[in-house]
Amino acid sequence: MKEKLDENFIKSLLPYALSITRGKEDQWDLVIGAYEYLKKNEEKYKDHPNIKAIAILKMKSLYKDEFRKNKRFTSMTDKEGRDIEIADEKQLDISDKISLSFESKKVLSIIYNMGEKCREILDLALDHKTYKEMSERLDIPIGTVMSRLAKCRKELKGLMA
Amino acid sequence: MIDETKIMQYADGTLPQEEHEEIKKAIEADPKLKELYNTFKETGDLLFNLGNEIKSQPIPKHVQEKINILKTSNKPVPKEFGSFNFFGLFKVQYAGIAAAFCLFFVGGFYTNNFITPKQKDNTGQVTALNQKINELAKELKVTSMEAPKKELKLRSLSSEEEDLQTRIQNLYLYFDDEKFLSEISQVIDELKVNEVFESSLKDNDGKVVKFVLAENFSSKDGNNCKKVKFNEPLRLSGIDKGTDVTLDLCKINENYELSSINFTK
Repeated sequence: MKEKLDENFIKSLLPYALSITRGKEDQWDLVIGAYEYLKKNEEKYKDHPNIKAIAILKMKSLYKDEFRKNKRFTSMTDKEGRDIEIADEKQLDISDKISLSFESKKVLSIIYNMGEKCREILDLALDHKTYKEMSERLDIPIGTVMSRLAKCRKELKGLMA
Repeated sequence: MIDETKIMQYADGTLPQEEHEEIKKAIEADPKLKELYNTFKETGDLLFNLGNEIKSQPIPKHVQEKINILKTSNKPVPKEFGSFNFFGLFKVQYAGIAAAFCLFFVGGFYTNNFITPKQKDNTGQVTALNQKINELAKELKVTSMEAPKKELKLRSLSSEEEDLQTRIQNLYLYFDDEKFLSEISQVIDELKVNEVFESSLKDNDGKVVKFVLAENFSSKDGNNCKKVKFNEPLRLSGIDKGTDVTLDLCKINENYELSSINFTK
């Protein structure tokens, strides 16, 4: 596996888990679930260039499965007729168990509601990756990293306003 | 025309020194570029600080314990091999009795799922079963193996041919429920869901058996109950590829009692 599954890696999964759980306690369940999956599939993913993406997909599916199991979704159809699932309001409470500030949680929530490309690159920025590291991780040229990052940061600023 | 990525690099402090002067002057001369610079500066600081805040989050104890457990298995392991080994005892000398149990149960019980409470007034069937097991054990002159000391009622679910009773027997050879109850009762009300409890019980390889509080629930009688899971699948027989075992503990008259043992594959 190109990325070491150490404590830093585990913590790097936290932003995404926080964003989809809205800071509820089960964020760590998602993180550990993804970590467990990767540990059990180390051989399978040993040459994978983006293990974090695998972990994020796993967390996403774990979260959806858990919500479906507990019927915490309300299925709706959006304006364009697409099926969407909304977490029940009572599930969106921010837990005091997370010591992130309210503002931080809000920013995380904004980031993870952005398009996939922005989510991906801002998540790496949160992890303090350099442009070069982002380029390697995303397997795109460094120039593309910079232009994408610039675009996403402008978008983030606009969404926070 | 100034490329906005240059402004971003300048704001991030990653622009090569020789380009600083040019960009600095451009920003000072153009309010739009100044605004762009402020945007990058602000979002850069925000992402950096938020990243720090997240990294400073402590990993909860129960998560750390799970990570430590997962770390100990350096090699990728299929589910069934991450298990506690309760089967080591069953080598050559016990193969006979295991086979006997299997044969016996082919005739009587097809189940792989549930053992429910030890109701003393509802155990005729199981008592007969235990007697039969003892007889078989005597016939095979196996003295070190005890029949289950508890009277059990089996709630059967149709399934494939299974060595359930062998697994039950093996579980009880190593799982001292009274000892377990006495230990966990002291901490169970403090345990949080997913928190790991380390018992003094050991498996056949001497590995400490750990449990995880899976959920809190109320029984039909309104008693407070806890579902406690063995932290790893158990290998309870020679053909067992790994059984997830959970224990339902319910508080009755201020004491927790084992109300059911659940076997799932």
